[in-house]
Amino acid sequence: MSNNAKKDDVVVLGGREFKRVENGLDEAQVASFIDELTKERDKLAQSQDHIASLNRLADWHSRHC
Amino acid sequence: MSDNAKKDDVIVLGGREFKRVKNGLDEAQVAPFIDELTKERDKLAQSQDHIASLNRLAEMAVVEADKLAAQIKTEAEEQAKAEGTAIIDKAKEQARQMAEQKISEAVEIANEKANAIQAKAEEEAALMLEHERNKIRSELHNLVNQQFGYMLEELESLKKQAAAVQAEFDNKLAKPGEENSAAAVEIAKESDAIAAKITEESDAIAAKIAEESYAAAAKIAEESDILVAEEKDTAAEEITEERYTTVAEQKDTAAEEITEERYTTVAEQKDTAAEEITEERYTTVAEQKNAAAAEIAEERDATFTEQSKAPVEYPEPSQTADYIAKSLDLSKLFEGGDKPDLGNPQWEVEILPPFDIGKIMEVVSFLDQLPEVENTEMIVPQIDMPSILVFLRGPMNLVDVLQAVPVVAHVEEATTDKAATNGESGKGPRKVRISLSENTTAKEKK
Repeated sequence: MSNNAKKDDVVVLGGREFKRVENGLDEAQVASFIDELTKERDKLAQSQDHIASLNRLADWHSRHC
Repeated sequence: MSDNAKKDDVIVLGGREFKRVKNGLDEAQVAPFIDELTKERDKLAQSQDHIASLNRLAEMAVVEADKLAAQIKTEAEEQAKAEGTAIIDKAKEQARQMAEQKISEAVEIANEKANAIQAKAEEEAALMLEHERNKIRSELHNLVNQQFGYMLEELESLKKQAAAVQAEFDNKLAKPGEENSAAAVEIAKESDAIAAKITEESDAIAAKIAEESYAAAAKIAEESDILVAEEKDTAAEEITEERYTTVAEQKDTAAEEITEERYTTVAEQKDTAAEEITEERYTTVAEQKNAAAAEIAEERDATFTEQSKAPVEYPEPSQTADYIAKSLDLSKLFEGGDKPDLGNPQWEVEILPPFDIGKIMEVVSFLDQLPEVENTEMIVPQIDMPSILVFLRGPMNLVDVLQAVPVVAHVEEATTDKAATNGESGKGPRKVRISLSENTTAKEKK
């Protein structure tokens, strides 16, 4: 879920502030999409971190074994 | 940038449709953020794909590395195997060379020791042979002296018989004419019988000496064989012990060489000893025979000289001459030493072994009785075979004559020698070789 913090004219989605305007985008849809993109990004970043950890382990193994 | 497609109430941001609502979020702010998030996601996804391809590449590299490692391992094993084989071959070759060197050194040492043992054994064998030779020579000398004493005793006995005959002859001479002649004939017959008896006894003694000499020589040979065999066995055992660590083939070869050389040496020494013994035997027998014959002849001549000087009536001249001639023939039969100068012999009769003194003397006696023969001379050389030199009065074919002798088994003329004719002086004699029969009578020879 998004960590939205509502004020009167500002909505925070994904750590970013968005202003409310007349005839603007549906907040629920935008929030859902941003949340989905954030999760995908975090998942890929986590995977990349995991691969980086494996590389470091492989380097260490090659140096010490 | 986002691929937004605007409609009236719907807007597409990042491939997603968003509705427009009253009091909604600012599109200008949402769109860049979504675009930023999308880019980050795509970038991470692309990086993920890249890592995946790298993984595949790594897997392929690992497979290739495994294959390469297996190939390298196989090649390394083969190379190690080849190098190991080469190292083993080289080590074997070095070991073989070292072994050959050690073997050659051991064989050389063993040969030196074997040569030393062989030289020692040969020296001991020579000493033993010399010792045995001296011993047998001494025994033979004693035997000859014994036989000589025996012959002297026999001669004394004959002297007594002759004295008795002389006394009887003197008694009968006191009787008249015919009786004297008859007595002279009887005395002559008795003298002939005595001479024949002397000849027979001399032959028997010579044969006995020859047999004993043969027995002594055989004994020497047997003892020498035993001693040499024992010496050879001892040397062979020593050689075997000392060469125990060396190669068996080298040892066998050395032992064979040693055995052959020892046999050769021993055979040569035995032959030399046998030749010396044979020479000594013949020389001794001939000397004894000559001495006995000379003594008998001298006594006989003295007896007849005394008889001829006796101042009594003589027998018939023809009978006396016959008597004297027979006596001279008898003495001439045993003559071996001093002879008048008769010039060069016309024939030389070489006698091939085996030798028999009695048969040789029979041949000499036969030749001396021939009217064509002036004289004969017995030659006993040191090395070669004994021979008889024949001096002729007139022409004669000795080959045909010798074939008629009962004790002669085979006659052949040596054609390679110098030609000589009967009666011609200054040239060498014609040579004829004879071999004596083993057990001969005239009947058997026929």
